[in-house]
Amino acid sequence: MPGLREETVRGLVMTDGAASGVVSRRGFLRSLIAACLAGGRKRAPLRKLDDASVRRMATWVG
Amino acid sequence: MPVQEKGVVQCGICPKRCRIPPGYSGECRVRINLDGKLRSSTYGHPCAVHVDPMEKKPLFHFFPGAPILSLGTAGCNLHCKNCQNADISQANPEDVPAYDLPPDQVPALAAKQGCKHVAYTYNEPLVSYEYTRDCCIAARGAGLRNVLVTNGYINEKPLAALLPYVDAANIDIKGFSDDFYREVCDGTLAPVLRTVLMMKEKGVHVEVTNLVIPTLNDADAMFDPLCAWMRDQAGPEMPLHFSRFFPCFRMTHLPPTPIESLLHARERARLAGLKHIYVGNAEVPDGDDTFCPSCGARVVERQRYVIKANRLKPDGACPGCGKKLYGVWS
Repeated sequence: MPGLREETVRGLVMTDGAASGVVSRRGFLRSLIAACLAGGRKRAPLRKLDDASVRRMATWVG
Repeated sequence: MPVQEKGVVQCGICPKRCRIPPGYSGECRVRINLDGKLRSSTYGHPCAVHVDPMEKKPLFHFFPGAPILSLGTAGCNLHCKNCQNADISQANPEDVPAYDLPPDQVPALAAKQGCKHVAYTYNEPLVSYEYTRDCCIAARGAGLRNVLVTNGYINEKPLAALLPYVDAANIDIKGFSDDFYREVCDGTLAPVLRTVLMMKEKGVHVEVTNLVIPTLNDADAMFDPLCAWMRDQAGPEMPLHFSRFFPCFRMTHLPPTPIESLLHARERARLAGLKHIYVGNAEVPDGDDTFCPSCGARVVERQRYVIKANRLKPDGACPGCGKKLYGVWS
């Protein structure tokens, strides 16, 4: 919305009208991308066991 | 057993007895309160699965040279500033890539890799108590032997429930004072000593490791009480591994342990009357070899993790004098 200042509130890029629920298109897209990225970081993916890596001695101590 | 009050659960696994609000984890980062129930976030999800030699644990008096399937997860209940595995032990489980390995699949994996032993190691296995226990039960059921590599910081009751399935353990005694445990590890000494004695009493084969850190635990005031306790309480035949420190994690300001300190520690242990003393993580003459405590013959020669010669009889008897050495040899 032209003329309105954007600000970030907990990752959401909101316009001055945040309190009334108004979100700019750009802000919405940024928030969507941020949410997708955050979702991707929630849990590291499970890996598949393969014989070669199991047979290799661990670099960790113990 | 967790005690529930107003959505907060108290974990009973280790002496820290964390009181965990809903949605949070205990200090170990593993045990979480989900809807008022205590859950282990690493169950079935080890982040490290490897085949190591038994000597790497280190266990020198338990099936020398045998390959051992070794599992580790994220998390630890201590926070040693010198932790060498901090990338997994001090990490949140959800941040560490892990495998899907339910306990009932462990025996088949061990068999596929030619292993008759399974180790729970790399991080503290007792923070993933339920996973470790269920893997131990599955492995034992398939005729495999279980090994814990642990800091020994666990309460009596869960330990007693686990020990019937455990065959051997290497327990870290990180320093012989409460001050050291508080300042360096964020723990206390007494529970660790209790764990050593409980395991010994229950017939578990135990070896002890002491990482020697310059200026922090390398004085006689630390070595002597440790060795005296080992001699008088654990028994003079229980192997003691002095291990060399290298700078890492939050202790990069200290140098590697001088070899002289390790040799001095070994000498103090000999003077105290301990029979099997090893020096690890360092190239030290005889540091990895096993000697008969009766006649002094060199019965097992090692080069780091490799067995160069094993002259012991299958029952662990010295070929020279017949003395049966402490341990489980075949």
